[in-house]
Amino acid sequence: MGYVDAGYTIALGVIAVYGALLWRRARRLGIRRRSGPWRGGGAQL
Amino acid sequence: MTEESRTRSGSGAVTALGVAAAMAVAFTVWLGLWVTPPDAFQHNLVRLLYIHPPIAWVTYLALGVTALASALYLWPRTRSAFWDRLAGASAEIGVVFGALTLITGSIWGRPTWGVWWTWDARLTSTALLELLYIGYLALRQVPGSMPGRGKRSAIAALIAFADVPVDHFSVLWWRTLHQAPSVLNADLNPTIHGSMAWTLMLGFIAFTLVYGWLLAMRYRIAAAKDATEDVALAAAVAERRLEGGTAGIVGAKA
Repeated sequence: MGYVDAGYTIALGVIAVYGALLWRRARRLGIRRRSGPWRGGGAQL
Repeated sequence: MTEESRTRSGSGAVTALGVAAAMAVAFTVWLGLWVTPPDAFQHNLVRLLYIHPPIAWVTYLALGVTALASALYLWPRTRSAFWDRLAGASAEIGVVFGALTLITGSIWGRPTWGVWWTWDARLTSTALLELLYIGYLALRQVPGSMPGRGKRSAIAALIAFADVPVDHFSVLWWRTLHQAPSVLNADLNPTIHGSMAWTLMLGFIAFTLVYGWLLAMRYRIAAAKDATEDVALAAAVAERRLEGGTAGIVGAKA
């Protein structure tokens, strides 16, 4: 693998993984938020 | 507009931003790897420069937003948890992009300069910046009351931000191996032209959109976490009050 390929793979790969982790975590929290205790959904803590 | 519909439209805007960011990055990669010509001196290595400066720009932008949000948090008239959360969310993205700035720069430096790393002023100040903001994120994790944590984090963010102008102007202030700015130089006369210039500009836009999407997601996580903690705290206080009230009644009977 050349330097250019390595640079693009690492940069885009790290951003994609970081973005996917945030998206998954936000989605989980979002699901909890809709029925969560601070919207009157009951104790989920 | 109800809160429900506001939340929904907010999610729609963030989704649209994410799609636009992904498309812009894909277009930048296509132009950078397949459309633009090789450079006369750097040959194909120039292709790394379509992502390295935009990633470095996002690092500065993210840390700039952290500094601004921290200043607004410290200012009594504008103090709110929103600015504290925004500062923390943006700093985390800044650290990720700061690490990528060092990595992509190092990958470009190895074939160009012959070394992965050198104690050049630009490289050293960028590494210092990375360490300062890792320290800032660690400081945010130190337990304490929200106002106290927010205040000390904001002060730390403003101190750490002092390294950003040093980092940016290091190539002008000292004799460095790192090249001077190609676009935002002293004469504001870009030294890059044609399809190479357009690809670089698109790279700046694409990675800025990526930053916007990541910030929105990271902020939401921080806000949801704070809300969870607030509810847990309120429940604990209510429980303790109930226990105290019961103890008082028992004590009065005795």
